[in-house]
Amino acid sequence: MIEARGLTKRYGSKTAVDDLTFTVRPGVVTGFLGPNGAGKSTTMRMAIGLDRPTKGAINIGGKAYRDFPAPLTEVGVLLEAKAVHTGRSAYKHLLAVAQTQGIPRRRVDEVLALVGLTDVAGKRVGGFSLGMGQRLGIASAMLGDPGVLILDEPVNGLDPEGIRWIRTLLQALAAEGRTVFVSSHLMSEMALTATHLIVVGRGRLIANTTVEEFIRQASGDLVHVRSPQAARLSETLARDGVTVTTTGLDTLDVNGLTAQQVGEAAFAAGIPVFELTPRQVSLEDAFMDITKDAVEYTHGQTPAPRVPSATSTGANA
Amino acid sequence: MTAATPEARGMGFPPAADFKGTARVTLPRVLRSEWTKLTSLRSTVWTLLAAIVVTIGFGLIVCAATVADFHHNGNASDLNDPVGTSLVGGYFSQIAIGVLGVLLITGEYSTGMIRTSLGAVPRRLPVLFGKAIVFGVTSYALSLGAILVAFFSGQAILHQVHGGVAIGDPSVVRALLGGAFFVMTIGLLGLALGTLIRSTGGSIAALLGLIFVVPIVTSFLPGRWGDIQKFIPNNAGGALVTIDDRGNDLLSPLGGLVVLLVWLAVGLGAAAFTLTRRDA
Repeated sequence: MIEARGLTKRYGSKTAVDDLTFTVRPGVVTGFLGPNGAGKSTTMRMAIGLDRPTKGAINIGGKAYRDFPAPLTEVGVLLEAKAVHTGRSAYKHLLAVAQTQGIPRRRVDEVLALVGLTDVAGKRVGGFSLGMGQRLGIASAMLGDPGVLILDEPVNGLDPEGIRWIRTLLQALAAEGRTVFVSSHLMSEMALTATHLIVVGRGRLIANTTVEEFIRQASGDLVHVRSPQAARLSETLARDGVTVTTTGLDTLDVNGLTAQQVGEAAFAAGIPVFELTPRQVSLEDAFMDITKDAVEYTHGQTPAPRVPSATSTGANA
Repeated sequence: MTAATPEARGMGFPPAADFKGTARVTLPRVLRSEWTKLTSLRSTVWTLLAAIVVTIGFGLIVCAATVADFHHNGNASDLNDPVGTSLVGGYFSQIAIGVLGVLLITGEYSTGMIRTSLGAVPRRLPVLFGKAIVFGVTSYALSLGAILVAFFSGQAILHQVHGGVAIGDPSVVRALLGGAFFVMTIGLLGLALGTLIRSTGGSIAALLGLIFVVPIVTSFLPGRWGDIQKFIPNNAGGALVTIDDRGNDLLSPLGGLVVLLVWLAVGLGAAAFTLTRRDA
């Protein structure tokens, strides 16, 4: 269980993390989602005492990280950048880390085997690929068999096989009753891996909800309709909770009804329908929509106005 | 090889509860970890070897040159400081050891290893003191060994012209132990500067400034201000190793030792202070 209360971090006049309060529960994978620069890494560094909060606190199992007598056996950590001396072999790296708290050599061999690095254990880490580096990071996090895992962008730069490996691993670890807290800036990745979501933007909490609920709220129902009597159909459909947008001479976008409901209404009113396409806003779009006010760095140009019917093309998750 | 892929174990890691009861961070364990770190980098091992080689090598070369010069010119003043002549390599090894002290910590900052180190030992001070103890003991032991070899072989060369001294002669043992202590001090000051400055380049520049520039600057100080010179690390170390005490402007050997200890306390104290307060 990880608990942040009023967690705030300022660097000079810049606020990286702004009054975050949330709880990460054991047993499920909790995604920590936000655009780059949203304060995810800073939050995770504060969780393990590398950075000191300006205000508030983040505790693990009711304790500050620095108060654990053997932190590696309580909390496993994978930080975004490789946190390994490149001149050292994978084995010696893990051994040096394990030795600080009396974790036996046998365990080093064990975690190396489990991430599939046994054959390259004696090679210097500087020659590792990104994927091997991430596996070494996972091995390091698992050294102390911790009940809590904090992983910053673990799938970053991995190939599809590596991504699948980490995804399955995280879900298995959560299923064992561990607390798994994973950051990502990729909504689609979190949708596949996480059960619960904590969404941040510009250091602020934007959402704290389940993945299912987040997607439902963000995307809504959108139905694209083409009819020779578009105007009449529009009047027919208009009622509370339904938005009808005319997108062309004979086309409508209907928000708030399912395709089936639209079709039934058209049939009842005797209006012919040539096309009836349910569309879901893509997860990335939903995420962008929700965090758009919270993106720190935008591209120079003013973003084009969002047209749902255009953005959903081929991007349905 | 046991093909224990994660798939074979249902992707989960097996529980390892057998060590969980006894696991905790202790200083002896951090020392063991720091020893592993020190000895598992090729650069570190090579630098330590280089320090040994230059200590012995330069001592032999200068002793041989002194003897050759004596045969040629009969200049007896060359033989005034036989201990110092055989230990001249220490001036070079202090640079190697000092730079290694810097790299011990800045190498962790530049690679990101420091976050792993401080994550494993969140109280932080054991990491710094663990490094200081392991590196201090290692550099002292290796320096002393190299100095002893340089001394005995150097004196053997100088004996050819009856210019050598014996280890039992007054102050000789003090000079040998003191020489190793001085080299160790420079190494630990390198570690302290590296911890304070964190960048390799900046820390090495500061260290070389302390060894080479500060003595020049202080030598220009007028009148009684010139006494400050006695307290810079080089001259405090000089007081520790010099046997020829005629007319020099150095502290007593004990005074030199105390001054070096103060430098160490201030340097490592400042490093400890900043390490515990700064974000990593």
